[in-house]
Amino acid sequence: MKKYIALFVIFMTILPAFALAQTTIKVEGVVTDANNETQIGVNIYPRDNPTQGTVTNLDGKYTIEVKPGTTLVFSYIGFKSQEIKIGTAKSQTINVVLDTDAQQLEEVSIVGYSTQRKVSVVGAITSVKPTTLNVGGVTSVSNALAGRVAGLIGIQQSGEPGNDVSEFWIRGISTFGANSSALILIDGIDRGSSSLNELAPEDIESFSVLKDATATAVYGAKGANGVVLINTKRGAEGKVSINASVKTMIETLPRLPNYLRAYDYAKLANEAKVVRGDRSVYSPEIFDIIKYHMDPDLYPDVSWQDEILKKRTLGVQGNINISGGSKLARYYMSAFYRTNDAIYNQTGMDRYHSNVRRNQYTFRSNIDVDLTKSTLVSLLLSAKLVDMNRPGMGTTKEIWGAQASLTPLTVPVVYSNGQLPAYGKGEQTSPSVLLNETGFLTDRDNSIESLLKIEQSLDFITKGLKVTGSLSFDNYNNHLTSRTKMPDLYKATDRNWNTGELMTLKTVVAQPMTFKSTSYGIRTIYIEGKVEYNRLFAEKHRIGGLFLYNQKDYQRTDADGELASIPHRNQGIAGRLTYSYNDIYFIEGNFGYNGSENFPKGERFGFFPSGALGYVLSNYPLIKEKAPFINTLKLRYSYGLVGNDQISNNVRFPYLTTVNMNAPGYVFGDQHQNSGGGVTDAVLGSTGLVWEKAIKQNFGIDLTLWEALDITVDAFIDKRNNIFMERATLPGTIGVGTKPWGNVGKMKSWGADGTASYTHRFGNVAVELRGNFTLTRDKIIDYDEVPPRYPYLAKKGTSYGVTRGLIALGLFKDEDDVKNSPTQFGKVLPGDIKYQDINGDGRIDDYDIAPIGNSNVPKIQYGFATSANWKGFDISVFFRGAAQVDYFMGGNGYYPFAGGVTGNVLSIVNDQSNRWTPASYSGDPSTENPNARFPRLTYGENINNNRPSSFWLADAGYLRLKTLEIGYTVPKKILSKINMTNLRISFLGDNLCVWDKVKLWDPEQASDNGAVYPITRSYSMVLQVSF
Amino acid sequence: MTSKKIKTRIFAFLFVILSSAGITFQSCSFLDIDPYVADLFTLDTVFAKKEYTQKYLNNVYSYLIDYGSPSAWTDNAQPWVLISDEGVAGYKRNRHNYNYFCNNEMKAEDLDHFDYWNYFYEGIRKANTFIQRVNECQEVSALQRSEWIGQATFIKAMIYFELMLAYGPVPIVPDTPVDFDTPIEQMMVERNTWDECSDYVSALLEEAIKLLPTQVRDNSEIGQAVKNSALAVLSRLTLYTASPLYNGENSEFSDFTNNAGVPYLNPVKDIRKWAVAAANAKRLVDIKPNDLYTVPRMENTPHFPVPAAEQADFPDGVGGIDPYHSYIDMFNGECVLASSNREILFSRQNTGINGMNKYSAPGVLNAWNVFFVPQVLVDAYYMIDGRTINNASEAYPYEEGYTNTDLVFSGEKSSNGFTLLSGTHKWYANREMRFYATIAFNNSYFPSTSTPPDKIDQQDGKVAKYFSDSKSGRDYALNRPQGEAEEYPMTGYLCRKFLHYEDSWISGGRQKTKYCPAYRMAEVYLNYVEAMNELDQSYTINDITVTRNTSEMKRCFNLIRYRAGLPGITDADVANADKMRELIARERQIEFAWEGRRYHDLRRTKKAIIYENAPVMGCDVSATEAEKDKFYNIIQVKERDWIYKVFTRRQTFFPIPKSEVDKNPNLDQMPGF
Repeated sequence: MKKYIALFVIFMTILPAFALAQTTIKVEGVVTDANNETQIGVNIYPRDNPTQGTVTNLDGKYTIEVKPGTTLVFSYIGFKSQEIKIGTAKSQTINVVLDTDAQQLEEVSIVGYSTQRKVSVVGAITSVKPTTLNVGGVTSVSNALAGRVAGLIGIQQSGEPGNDVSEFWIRGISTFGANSSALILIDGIDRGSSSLNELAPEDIESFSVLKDATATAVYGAKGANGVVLINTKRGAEGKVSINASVKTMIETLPRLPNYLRAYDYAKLANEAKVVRGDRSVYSPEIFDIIKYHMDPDLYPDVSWQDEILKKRTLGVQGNINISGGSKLARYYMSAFYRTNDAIYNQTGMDRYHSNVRRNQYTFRSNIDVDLTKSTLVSLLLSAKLVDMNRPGMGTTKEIWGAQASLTPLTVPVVYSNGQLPAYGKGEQTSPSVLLNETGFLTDRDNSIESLLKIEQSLDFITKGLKVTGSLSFDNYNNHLTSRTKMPDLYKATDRNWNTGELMTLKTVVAQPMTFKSTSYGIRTIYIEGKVEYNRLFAEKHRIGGLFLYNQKDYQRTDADGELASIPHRNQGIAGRLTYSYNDIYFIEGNFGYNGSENFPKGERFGFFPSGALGYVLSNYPLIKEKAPFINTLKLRYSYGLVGNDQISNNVRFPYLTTVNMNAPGYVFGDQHQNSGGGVTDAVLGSTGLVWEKAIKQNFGIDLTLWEALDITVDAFIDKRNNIFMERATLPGTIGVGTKPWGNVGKMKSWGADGTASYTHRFGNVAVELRGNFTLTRDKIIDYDEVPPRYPYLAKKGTSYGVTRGLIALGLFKDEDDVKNSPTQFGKVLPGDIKYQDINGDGRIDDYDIAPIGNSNVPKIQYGFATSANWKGFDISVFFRGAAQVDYFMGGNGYYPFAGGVTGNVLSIVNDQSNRWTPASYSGDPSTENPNARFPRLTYGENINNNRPSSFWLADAGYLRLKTLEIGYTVPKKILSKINMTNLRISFLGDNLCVWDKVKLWDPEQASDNGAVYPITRSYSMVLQVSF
Repeated sequence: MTSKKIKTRIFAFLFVILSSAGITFQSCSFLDIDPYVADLFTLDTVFAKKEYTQKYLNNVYSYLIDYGSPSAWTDNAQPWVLISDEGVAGYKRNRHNYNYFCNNEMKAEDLDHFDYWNYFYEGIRKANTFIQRVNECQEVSALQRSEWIGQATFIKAMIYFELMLAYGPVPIVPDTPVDFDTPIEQMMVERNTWDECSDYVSALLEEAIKLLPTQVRDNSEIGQAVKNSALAVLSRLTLYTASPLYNGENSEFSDFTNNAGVPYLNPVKDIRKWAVAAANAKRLVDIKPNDLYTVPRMENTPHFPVPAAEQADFPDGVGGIDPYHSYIDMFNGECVLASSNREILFSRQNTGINGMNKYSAPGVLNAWNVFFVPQVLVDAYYMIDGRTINNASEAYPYEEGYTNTDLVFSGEKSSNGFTLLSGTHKWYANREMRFYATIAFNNSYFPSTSTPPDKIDQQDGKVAKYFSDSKSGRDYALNRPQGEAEEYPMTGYLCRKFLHYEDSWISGGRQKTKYCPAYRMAEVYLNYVEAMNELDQSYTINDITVTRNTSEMKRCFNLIRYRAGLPGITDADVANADKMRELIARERQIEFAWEGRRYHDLRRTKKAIIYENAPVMGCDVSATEAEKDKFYNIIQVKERDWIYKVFTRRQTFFPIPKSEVDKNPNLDQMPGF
C-alpha cells in the first residue's frame, strides 16, 4: 500500500513537504569516493520521504535529522546509490564511501526508438548537450541549431515574433521533391517543427540528430531526410529540486535598408529622367519647396522606417521546473512563459491590443512510476497556448513592402488638415494606417501533447528482455479572429494657390469594424509496441535486439476536398540487431518495413534495410597499453536504404483517377434549352507510384585524445531515387490535360561534417573550445525536363536551386560599344548592363541564362565556440558562419526608381561612385564609372538592366558573432546558507556582429530588397536559481 | 518474490501484450482508404449511370471548336477569318496575335492562343476513353450506346480534321488511351501523311455514319451529330484532300518528308480523289437535292433584275423568297434552328459569336469595332444584277456620289428591315443582298432595337460612321478613357453578318442568342460542283458513279445564286472548267464570308500566295465628316504598321508548339519554323 500512498504524494508534490514535529535523530558525516575525495552535492534523503533530503556541502559534509529506524539513501550521479539504516542513537556520524557506478557512468546515446551505449553507436549521430544549445534571445530552439550541430544547415529569414524561426536541413537539401525536411521526434513522437520551435529550452534533456542510414532505417519511409530526436527532462530519484530562470531581453534592429530623404530622392529622380532624354520630374521651383520642406502635404519628407518602427522592443521568458522523486516515482514539472513584441511603433491603438505580440504558455508534466519492480509507467503531458496579435490588415509583407516602396515624397503620415492619406490610384494604404487604423486580429493556437508509456522488464523470462507499449495523442487547434476596419482615406490633388488650402479627394470610404473568425484543428494518434533485448554473454559477446510495431493517424479539419480530408496514416514495423565482440568489433543491422495510405493497395509497404560496421581500435589491449593517450579511436561505416513517403505537399493518392463533376459541358436544343453539364476525369491516376528512396553511405571516425580533444568526422553519399515529380516530358499527343506524376527524379548529394572539441584547465581557469562544420554538395542526376536547346539551360547535371541569370560583362562604355554588341532588351544606352551572348546568336534572350551562382541555401555551414570558467565567472562566445550561398538583389527599393513613383532609393545610390552618370549630365567624365554598382538610372522599369544577372548577384556568405555570454555563479558555500543550490546571473548578447558582403541588410535573410522583418539583435539578462 | 508481486507483474505483462495484440488486430485495414473513397465518383461510377455517361459525352463535345466564332476571340477557336484575306484585326498583342501570323512573325516557341495542339489531343483521348468504356453503361439500350459511340467517333473525327486544318499532316494516336507507364519512347509518335490522316478520318466518319441516327428525336437534341453531319464533314474533308495542295501541286514541300523520306503531302496528282469528293457530296445531294434555307417573299422585298425564266419560284428561280432574310437569318439568330431548317447539317448551339460580335460591331453600339473587312472582300460582291463592280450595267451602275433618299427593304427600318440611308456612297447601292447582310460600310444603319431610347448616341444616333471624328471613328478610340487605341475601323468596313437587328452593347441593350451553322448544305452543293468540275471521266466510288455532269453542276450552283436573288450561271459558264473554278472560288468567298472557309480555300487551291500577299486596302479613315469625299479614297491601310499580310510557304500550316517538338524528337516541325 505504501507504494500507492507515495504515488499520491508525488502527484501532490508541488507543495513542499515539511517534516512533522516528531522525535528525530541527528545524523552527520562526510561523503567521499573511493579515492577519498570529498563529494559535493550528494543527495541524502530518507527512503520513505525523499522530499526531506539534503545535500553535502563543499567539504562533503552533511547533516540531516530523521526519525529513528529510517533508511537513508545516498545518491549521486555516476555513483551507485547506497542505503544505510539508521539506528536509534540520538546523534550519529556516518561517513559514506560511494562506489563509482560503471553502468551509469557509461555514456548513453539516443538512437532510433531506443538508447545505446555510446561506444556501440556505429551510425552517424550528432548529440548536442542541451546546455550548449544557447538560444540567445527570446526565440526558438531552431535558431540555435545552425553552426552548433554538425551536419545541419539552417537559415533564419525573419526576426518577427512568431516567424523568428529557422528552417533547417540535415546534410543540406538532398531531394528536389516536396519534402526535404527532417523528421522531428519529441519524446519519440513525430511532432513537427512548430512543436520544436515552441519547446522550452530548459525542458530539453537530450538533442540528437540521426544522419545516416543505419541510424534512420528504423524510420523506414520517413527517415530519408534525417531525424531529429529530442527527449524532454524526467525526474530523478532524489530530493525536490526547483529550478527557475528569467530572461529579459531588449531587441533592436541592427541593420535596416538606408533610404534617401526627399531632397536627394528628387535630385536623383530628375537625373533618372533626364539621362534617358525625358523631362525632369521636379521643376526647380518644386525643388526648393522640397529642399526647404515648404509644403509637407504635397511634398512631404517622411522616413517611413522612423514612423513605423521603434528603437527597441522587449521580450521576457521565464521557466520554473520542479523535479525529484523516490525509488517508486519520479516527476518533472515545468511551466514556461515567453512573450515578445514586434518592434512596430503603434500609436493610439492601445484600445485595440493590436500590437504585434506573441505570448506563449507551456505546462509540462513528465511522471514515471514504478508500478512493480519491473514495470515502469510514464505519463508525459504538455499543454501549450500561443496567442498572437496583429494589426487588422497590415501583414508583415505589406508593412515591410511599404517601407521599401513608399518614397519620402509620396504622402505625409497625415495631412495637415488631419486627413489620412491614400496613394497609388487612390486605394493604397500607408503602413502607418495599416498598423494603426485597420483594427486587429488575434491568432490563437492551443495544443495538448500526451504520451502514456508502459515498460515491462521481462528479466524473469530471460535477462535483458523488455517490452514497451506507448500511446500518444496530440491535439492542436487554431482560432483566428479578425476585427478589421478602415478609416476614410484622402488623396491630395492640389492646393488652392490663393488661399493655400489643401484640396483632397476622398478615395477610400471608411468601413466599420467587421468581425470574422476561422478555426481548424489537427489530431494525431500514435501507438507503438516494442520488444527490446540486451545482454552481455561471457563478458565479450554483447547482443542487442529491437522489434517494434507502430501506427499513426493524422487528421486535420481544414481539408479542402474529399481526398484531402482522408486521414494521413502510417503503419509499420521496425527492427534492429546488434552484436559486438569485446567492444572492439561492432555489427548492426536495422530495418523498417512500413507503409502509408497514400499508395495503392498491395503497394503500400516498403522495406528499408541498412547495415553498419564499427571497429574500435582503441579497445585493443595493445593500443591501450602502448598508446594510452588514445582514449577512443573508432571507425564506422554504414550502408542502407531509407524512404521519404511525403512525396508531395498537396497531391494525395496520385494513383486515383478523380472525376470533375463540373467539367465544361455542351448545349443542345433549338432553344438552347438542354444545357448538358459535363463530367470528366479531372486527374488521371498514375500506376506504379512509390516513395522516394535514398541509398545512403556514411564513413566516420571518432577520435578522443588525452581525454581532452574530441574529434568526429563523417563523410557521406546520398543517392536519392524515385523523386516524385510532374511528368513534364510526356508529349501532348498522349492527350492528358493535367500532367500525371511519376517517380522519375534522381539526385545525388555528398559531403562531410565533423565536430571537434578541446577542454583544458589552466589552474583555476577551465577552457573549452568547440567547432563544427558541414559541407554539402549535390547534383541533379535525373530531372523530367524536355532537353533544352542548350545544355546549360538544363536542370539535370546542376546543383539543386542553383542561381540562374544572364552573365553581365559590365556596363556599356559608349555608343560604339552598344552598336558592336549583340541585341539586348529595348533601347540600350552607354552605362546600361552589357550581357554575354552565350549561345552566340547575336541577341541576348532567355537562351543566354546560365547557372551563375550557388543556391540560396548555404552549401557550407560552420560554427565555433569557446568558453572559460574562472572562480564562478564564466564567459562563452559562439560564432556561426555560412558560405557558398548566393541570391539576387532586385525589386522595388533596390533597383532605383524601377517602380516609377513607387520604390525607395537606397542611400548608397546617392554616392556618385556607386552609379554611372553620363558626363553630359554631370559635366564630369569620371562619373562614367565602368565599375559603378548601379547602371545609368532609369525612371520606371528598365527591361534591360532590371533582370536577374550576375550584375545583381549577392554573396550571402557570412560570419556572425551569434552569442556572447558572461555569467557569474554565486559560490555554493554562500548559497548553502540560504538553502539554494544554484544562483547564476548572466548577460547575453545575441547577433552582435556580422561580417558579410551584403551589408545593406542581414545576409542570412537572402532578401532581394530588404522588405523583410530584420533578424534582430538582442541583449538579455538571465537569472537562474535552483533550490 | 511474493505472490502479490508476481501477480502484479503478470498483470502488467498481459496488459502490454493485449494492447499490442489489439493494435495488430486493428491493423489489417488501418491503411485502407476505401471507406472514404467508396462513395466518391470514379470513372467506374460515371460509366455505370446514364446521366453521367451522357455528361461525359457532353464534355467530349465541348472540345469541338466553336466554328461560329471563327476567330480567337473565344478561347477555343482558331482565327481563320482574321488570318486570311477576308478579315483584318487592329490589335497585335497578347491573345490577339493574328497579325503575328499575317506578318509572318509567328514563333513556334510562343504560339499563345494559336496553341491548341495539346487541347485537341486531350479531346481525342476523352473521346477514346468514352468509346472504350461506354458499354459499361447498362442503364441504356444497346442502340443508345451505339448512337453515343457514333457521336464520340464523329467528334474525334472533327478534332482530327481541325488538327489537320491547322497543322497539316498530324500524328494519329492509338485508339486506346496510352498508359503513363508506357515506355516514353513508345509515346514518341510521328506525323502521318496527309493522305493517311484523311483516310483515317474518313474511316472514322464512315463508322459514325453507320451508327448515327438520321434525325434527332426532338428539338431539345438539336446540335447533336446525326448521319448528315458526318456526311457533311466527309464532303469537306475529301474535297480538301482532292485539292491541289494535297494532291500533286506541292513541289515546294518536297523537303517536308518523314524519316523514311515519304512526303507528307501527296506529290502525284490523282483525279480519282476529286471523284471521291464528288461522290461524298453526291451522297448528301441525293438525300437533300434542294435544301437551302429560305424566307418567303415580303411586302418590300426588292425587285431582282434576273432574266424572266429565273423569276420562277425558288429553287427554279429567285421568286417567292426574300433573299436578304433567307441568307442573314441563318446567322443572326432570327431563324431559330429547328429540324425544319434543312440547310443546317451541323450546328453549335452555345456559340461564342456574340463575343466576336462585340469586336466587330461598331462603336456607336458601344462595341469595339476592331475586327474589320478589307476592301478586297467588299469588292468581291456582285451588283444586284449579277455583274461585277468592274463590269456594272447602266441600269445598276457602280458609281461615285451619294444617295439622296433612304431605301428600306425586306422589312421595317425600325426592326428587321435593311435601310440604305441617304447620303451613303453609291458604291454601296445596287449591290446583291449578301453584301447588305455582311458588310457594314460607312453610314450603315443599325436598328439595334434593344438600345434604351434615352441611351441612343447623341452624336451619331444608330448610324455607324467611321469618319475620324465620328463615334465609331479614330479620334474617339484614341481619346476615350477606356478602350484601346486600335479600336476603330481602319479599313472603313465592319462585318454585320452575325448581328441581329436587336443587338446593342449600350447599357440596357442586349444581344440575341445565336447558334452557329458550322456545316450547311450550301457548302455541299458547291463542293459537289467543284469536285465534278475537275473530273475527266466517269468514276465509280463505292457504287456511286460521278462524272462531269454539267446540268447537275449548273443546277446546284444556281441554288446558291437564286437564294441570293442573283441570276444563275449559264451553260457557257459550265462548259468552261477554268471559268467555273473562278466562279466557284468567288461564290465561296461571298457565300461563306467570315465563316472561316476562305483561309483553307486559298491554301488548298494554292491561291494564298496571290491574295494574302496583296496590300490591305480600305477607305481613308483619317478623314473627318467634313472631309467626306476624302474618306472614299481607296488607299492602302497604314493606320498601324502591322496592318499588312504576307504569305510565305511556312504559313501554309501552323507550327507545332516548340515545347512539343522538343519533347518528341520524332515530331517533324513545319518547315520554316
